Amino acid sequence: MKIRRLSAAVAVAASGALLFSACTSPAGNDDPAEGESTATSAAADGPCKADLGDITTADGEVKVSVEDEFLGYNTNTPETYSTYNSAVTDRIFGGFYYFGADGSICADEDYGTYEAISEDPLQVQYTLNDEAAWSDGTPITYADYLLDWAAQAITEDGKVTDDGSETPLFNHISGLTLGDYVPEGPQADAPDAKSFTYDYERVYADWKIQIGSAFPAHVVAEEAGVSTEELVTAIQDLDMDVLKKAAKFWNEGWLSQPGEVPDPAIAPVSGPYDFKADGWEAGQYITLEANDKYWGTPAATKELTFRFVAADAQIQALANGDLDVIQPNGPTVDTVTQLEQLGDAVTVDTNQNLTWEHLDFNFNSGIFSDSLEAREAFALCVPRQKIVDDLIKPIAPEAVMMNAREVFPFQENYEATVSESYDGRYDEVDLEAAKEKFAAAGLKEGEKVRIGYAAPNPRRAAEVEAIKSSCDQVGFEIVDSAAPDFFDKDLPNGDYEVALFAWAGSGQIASGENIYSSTGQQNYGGYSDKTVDEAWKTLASTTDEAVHAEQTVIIEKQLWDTLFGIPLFAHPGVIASSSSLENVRNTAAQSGVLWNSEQWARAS
Amino acid sequence: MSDIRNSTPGGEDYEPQISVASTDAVGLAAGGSAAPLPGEDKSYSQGQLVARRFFRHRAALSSMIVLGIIIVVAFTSIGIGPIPGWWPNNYTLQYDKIGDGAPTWQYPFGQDTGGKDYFALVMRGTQFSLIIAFAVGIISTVVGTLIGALAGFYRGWVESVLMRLTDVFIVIPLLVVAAVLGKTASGWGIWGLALVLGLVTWTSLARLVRGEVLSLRERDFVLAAQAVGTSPWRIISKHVLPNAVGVIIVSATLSISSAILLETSLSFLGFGVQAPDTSLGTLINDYQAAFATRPWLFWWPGLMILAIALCVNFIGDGLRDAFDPRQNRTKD
Amino acid sequence: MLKFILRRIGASALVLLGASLLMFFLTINSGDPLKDLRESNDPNREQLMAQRSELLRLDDSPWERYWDWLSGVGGCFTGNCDLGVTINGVDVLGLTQQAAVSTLRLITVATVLAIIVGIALGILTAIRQYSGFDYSITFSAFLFFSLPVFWAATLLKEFAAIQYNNWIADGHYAPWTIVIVAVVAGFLLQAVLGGTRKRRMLTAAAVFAFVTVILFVFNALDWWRNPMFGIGGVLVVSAAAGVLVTALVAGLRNRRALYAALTTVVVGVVAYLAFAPLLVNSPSWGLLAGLFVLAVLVSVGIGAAWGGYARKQSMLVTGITGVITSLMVFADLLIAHWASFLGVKSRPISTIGSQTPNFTGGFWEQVLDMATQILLPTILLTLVSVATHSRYTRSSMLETLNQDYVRTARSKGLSEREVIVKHAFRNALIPITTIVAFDFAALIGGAVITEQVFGWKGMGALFQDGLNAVDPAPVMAFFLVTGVAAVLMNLLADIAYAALDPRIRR
Repeated sequence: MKIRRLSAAVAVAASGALLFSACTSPAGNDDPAEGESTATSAAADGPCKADLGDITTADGEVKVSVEDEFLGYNTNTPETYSTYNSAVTDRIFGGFYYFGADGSICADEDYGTYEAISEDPLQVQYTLNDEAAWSDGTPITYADYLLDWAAQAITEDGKVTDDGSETPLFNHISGLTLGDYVPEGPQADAPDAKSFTYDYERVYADWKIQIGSAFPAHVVAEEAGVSTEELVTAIQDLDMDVLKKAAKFWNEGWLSQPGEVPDPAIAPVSGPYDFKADGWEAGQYITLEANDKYWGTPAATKELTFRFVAADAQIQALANGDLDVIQPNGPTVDTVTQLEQLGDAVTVDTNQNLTWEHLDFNFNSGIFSDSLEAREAFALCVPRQKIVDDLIKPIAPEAVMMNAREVFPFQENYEATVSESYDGRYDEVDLEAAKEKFAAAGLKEGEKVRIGYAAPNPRRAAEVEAIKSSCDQVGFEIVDSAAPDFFDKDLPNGDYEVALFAWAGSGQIASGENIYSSTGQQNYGGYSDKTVDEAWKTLASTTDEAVHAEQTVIIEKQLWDTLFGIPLFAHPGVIASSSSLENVRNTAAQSGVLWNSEQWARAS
Repeated sequence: MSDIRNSTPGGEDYEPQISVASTDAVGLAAGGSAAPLPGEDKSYSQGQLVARRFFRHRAALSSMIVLGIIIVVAFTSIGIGPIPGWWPNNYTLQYDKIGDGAPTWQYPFGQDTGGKDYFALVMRGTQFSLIIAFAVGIISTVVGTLIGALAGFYRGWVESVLMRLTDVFIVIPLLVVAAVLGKTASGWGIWGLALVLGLVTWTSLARLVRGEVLSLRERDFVLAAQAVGTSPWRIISKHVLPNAVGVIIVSATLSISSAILLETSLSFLGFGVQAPDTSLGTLINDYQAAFATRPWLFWWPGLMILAIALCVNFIGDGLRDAFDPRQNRTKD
Repeated sequence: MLKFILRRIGASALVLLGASLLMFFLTINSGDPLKDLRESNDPNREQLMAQRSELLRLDDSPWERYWDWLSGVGGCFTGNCDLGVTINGVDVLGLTQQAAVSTLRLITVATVLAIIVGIALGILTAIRQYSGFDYSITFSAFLFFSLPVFWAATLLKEFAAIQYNNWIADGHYAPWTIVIVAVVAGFLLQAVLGGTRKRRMLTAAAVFAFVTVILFVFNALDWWRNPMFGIGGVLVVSAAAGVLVTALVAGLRNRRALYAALTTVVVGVVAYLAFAPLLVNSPSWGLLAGLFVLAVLVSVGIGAAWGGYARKQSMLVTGITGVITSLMVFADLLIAHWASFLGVKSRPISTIGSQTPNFTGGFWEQVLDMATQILLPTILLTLVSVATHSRYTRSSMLETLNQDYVRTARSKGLSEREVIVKHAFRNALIPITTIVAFDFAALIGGAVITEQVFGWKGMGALFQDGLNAVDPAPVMAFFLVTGVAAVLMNLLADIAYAALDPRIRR
């Protein structure tokens, strides 16, 4: 199964693209993803890629694990869009921004720069590096970005989208949302201009991650039988004869049969790596080699091989030198111990990432729906610290109990946000206080509480057991009601009192509106609070970061006071690499360990 | 093959002394190395004979005892249903963790990641695995034997229909059937699960039994029975099946151990046993990565599965010998 | 016989058709293919759902979808196969070809090995019923059968890959290792060969001495890193095999068969000398296959020429000897290239993958690379199947060893070899045939976990990914391959029944 990844393409999705990453790993990534606000400024050495000075490409090969087959050059169709595919394509396409190690937004100035030249109405100007060019020598220009916009704006019947709901001409994962926000499309003087401007129809808080990489317009033009200039004109004039041909190629021409490396003539690259001829063996591996036409900082190691390996097999493969870098999906307590047993040959790095686990109450029905005291009684008996100590700390020693929803413990603004919104009242189990609240809520001994989650998931089963061991003493009777189809059936039907799952952050600021506002599509429990609704409205309609921070505190405080739910912890992540490799760096973002792979180098 | 008998005596590699099981027939002769059964001249019923032979099989007898102990301990220690057991700890509750959960006097099998008593957990898993293993073993053996025997004995359209049905089940991967049915059956609890697993695992036995019956029904004693007008049912049950008991028992013992594993893969897929209940296979699966780091989490359920499988096999061996009238053991 | 086969083929086609229908409906009802999208709240969620519905044709009736799939498959008979596309838009036909090649490569070797080893162990445990040897094989069989594949895989990777690779960097045994290996070898062999106490002691002592000396010599020669086998090795081992095959099949008293076998070995070695330059300088799979066929034909010819009154028997003996000699030649060539292979790949045994990425090396190095990559999964698959095969063979042998005709044969004064090979074993084969046929098809499906732990993407991955995504095209492609294999193997089993027991044929 593929884990769908949130990147620019999907982040476009208005006020919060929610994606369930549907991997069946036991540690549980069966979780909805949520756009998540992130810190923006950098720490001492910064969350962005380090500046390593002059780099020349050294001969050699680095082998890294990905868990599924490469699908194709065009990673933006619904069929090919997955974390595993992006792991490869992110190496071959440059872009205006990437997510740093703590999930913050970093600009890639080798590629180009961008800035908002007007806040309201929002107007953003992008400028590509003058040297930026495809590996076949054609410069990267406005034409490429106009095509990128066209693929997300033009409908099947040859119009620019009105509200994003029409049938699109291009088979793009993001549908027509870009066209919805920027109906005029990017504006520039000439098809080969290096600078262009997007005029937003309405203010959009997440404009920074709206525009990333693009596909080569000159290839599409050629395949459609026109020149690049003619393609630009065709898009501007909505000439469907040309656009239909262009869309056909865009939809189908860049898909690959496993094992067949895309033809360099139709698949030029704009990043530090390029496909290696004959470097793809179906079901086994795909090898990239350094792009010698790349104008920016070159890749440190010549060849990068992605081997398609399931998580179970990765540790021993690392020990045997079959892999150099691994990131096992769903690490357990034993993963880390096993890696540590390998000794000095292997460097292990653990962290917490942008996915966080939480208990959410059902406000539509059941004992918690209309009784704050009942919710408080439950919150007071949940052994959050024990859960973190037993289940998470053995994996990531730096793990802490998470006391917020919109900021993560490893982010810079976490302390400030938490200290203003939460007084620590649920940090420790207080059975006496819980019993008082239990009585005050008018509950009777043996009150059934169904905790639902997607099975199988041993870690969540252990969390429920921990809660049962504690809360049964208060008078609740905790029932583990895990089901494989929890998200299909029990959650929408409301057959639960408490839902246990995790949201995966995407780097978006305003996506929480969907979860916590009364009308939010992801507000499964039916929570409704006026203060929260208003704060989200204010937050989403501005690009001012000070307002974002201020509103976040209001939201967090209200969510604690009314007990929307109980945040537990940020998921732990583990990477390990052969000690002979330098610059392998962990990241909290979903792009995973590969995010700075062009910097990996063998120690000399 | 050549029809000309090559009358050379065997090479040196094959000395006659290895003709272990062949020294005497049916129990007529008491000669050879086998100690004569005491009171061989008395007459016993078939059942008594089988029981006597079985209890003389040392490996089978000790396996029976070990399995008995496992069953008794598994069901009494933590109790079953509303009946409480003698073990103080509950398998659903987490206790304060001692160290990293390694075995201690208080928790002889250790504790799991969250601090649950692993002995209680393993006992619960053993209960479930035993129920599933035996239910599946029995269902699949009965169904498989019945279908195989009917097909092999009647031949003609009965055989065609039954064997094509078997083929249909054989060519459909078990996992698909189990996944689809398992979704429905996971709501029925453990007995439903066992029923579903039993109903999809009889195919190899059906083919085996049919093969045996095909060759047995042409034997003289069956032909003779038919000639004197014995009813087909009686021929199958009294003459044919006892002679096919060897493969049936091996198949049953293997299907009991494989049922444990099949349930494991189903639990892994999310159908099967649901938390907080558990089975031995689920425990092993959950803690496969603990193999090198917290070995007790892996070895206890592993040893239980192995013990059950071995016991069942040796009991099967003993039963086979006991049912086979010609078999007479010369060694222990 | 022909009529029997034709009738069975017709029935098999019907079975496949019925099963495919059932399978198709089971698959599309095994879950919700739009699950991940239903849980999403992309603004363009409806579009994405519509797009996937169109791709998977969810709006059409299941019968139409099945019919479509069936006509796509029907196209295979006219040369334009269409097995549909996956949920990722990849053409399933190409995927299936790649996966089938990969998986068949993996399981063919395992099946053959498992049959040989399993049946041999089954016979040995049956004729040594209730010996220590019998008990230990029983114990191991159930150990491998009842513990999960991943566990055996972990151990294999640790010891046969990681530790071996560490060791081969130096390639020398410590003296105490040699002693332990020799003791274990001696103990095992005496248990297998059996006999009186005195004879057992002698066997153990001889094996111990032999192994000790050999290992010390290997150490001195740095053999494990620079191994050689040579013409002499080929000659000696093949000749020994020839004698053993003769003893088993025809009996050593049949001098003609013995001489035929030895002639085959000599001819094989001479041919090796003649073809050696070609094999070393311009090897290819075509050449190897051609030479192998030639070798078998020549060997059978030698048997026929020597044959005399038991010509068929001699031909069987020389045929088997020829195959063994060819394998020895092949092994010699591989061994000769081991040192240069270590030069290209310093850690020879990998834990994952069916080939080393971007491997560079000559033909023989590439063969070695494939062999070292396939080694661990093959051992694993073999172990599991050996467990079942040996149990069934043992029980079946015990059954037949007690039959009247076996006793008759013995009382007639036939040699034990003849009693076992001709009378007992031949009849014991009936249930064994069933289980082998059954197992082959099950192995393809059962390779799912093995493939996963060893990083091979084959039929197992096709099936699992398809089922998880409720995507019928890859699941049905998997079914086509396993289903046809299962039906074929069962057909073969039926034919084998008929051949083994003529009374069945009607």
